[in-house]
Amino acid sequence: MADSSVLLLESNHLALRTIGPWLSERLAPLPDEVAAPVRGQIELAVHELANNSIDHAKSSGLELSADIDGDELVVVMTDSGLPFEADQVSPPTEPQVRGYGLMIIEQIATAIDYRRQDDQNRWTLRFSLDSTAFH
Amino acid sequence: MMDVRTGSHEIDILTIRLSGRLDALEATELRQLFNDHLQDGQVNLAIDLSELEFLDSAGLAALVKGMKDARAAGGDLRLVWPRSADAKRILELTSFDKVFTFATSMDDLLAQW
Repeated sequence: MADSSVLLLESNHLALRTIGPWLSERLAPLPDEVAAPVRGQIELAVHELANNSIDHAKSSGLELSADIDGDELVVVMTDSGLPFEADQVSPPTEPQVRGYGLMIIEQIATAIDYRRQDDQNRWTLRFSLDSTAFH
Repeated sequence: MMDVRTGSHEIDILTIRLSGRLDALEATELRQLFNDHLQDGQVNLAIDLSELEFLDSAGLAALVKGMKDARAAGGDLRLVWPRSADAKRILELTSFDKVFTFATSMDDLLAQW
């Protein structure tokens, strides 16, 4: 039986709409007053990360896992797309049309780790489950 | 004595209401919609986001592109704030709350145009 904490996504934008319901399941053990204020922001950040995998890494598919670690949610995304080149990404200059995905992720996640291992991209995002950290 | 003359003029503003999700899946269609109206000379666009539940960077990019094109054509694209805190947050995270003109209702947005 597949681990319920893992979500496999095809590389298309429609598939990204399953991230929200999946995250809700992952946050279900938490009291609603803890999960409800942070769920939408975490969904946005994970959605943007997966969107980058589709649009920029040109991955054929991706895998997400999420686990509660103390007062944080740890989300790991792996794909076998093109490597992320940090020096080719610069913060957008307003009002530029594109390039806001990573900027949004950086503002929502408390920590971001990227590694290239075995021809795979591996992103680890940590999110505070304290809603005051989002404001 | 000072000569005071007053006058009024009407401007044509197209109103569009978006609801649900504005994400990468919907952004292409919205860009096309804006483009079609701008091509028709409709350069003032009032977009009601009050019922929008989810907005991502691709949806935001469609709004920004529409605004830039509308302003380049002598008009503007202005927004009614989303009621959803999550949809509102992305506008703040990207500082676009300082770039677009906003109102809290469509009536207010049209009244202040």
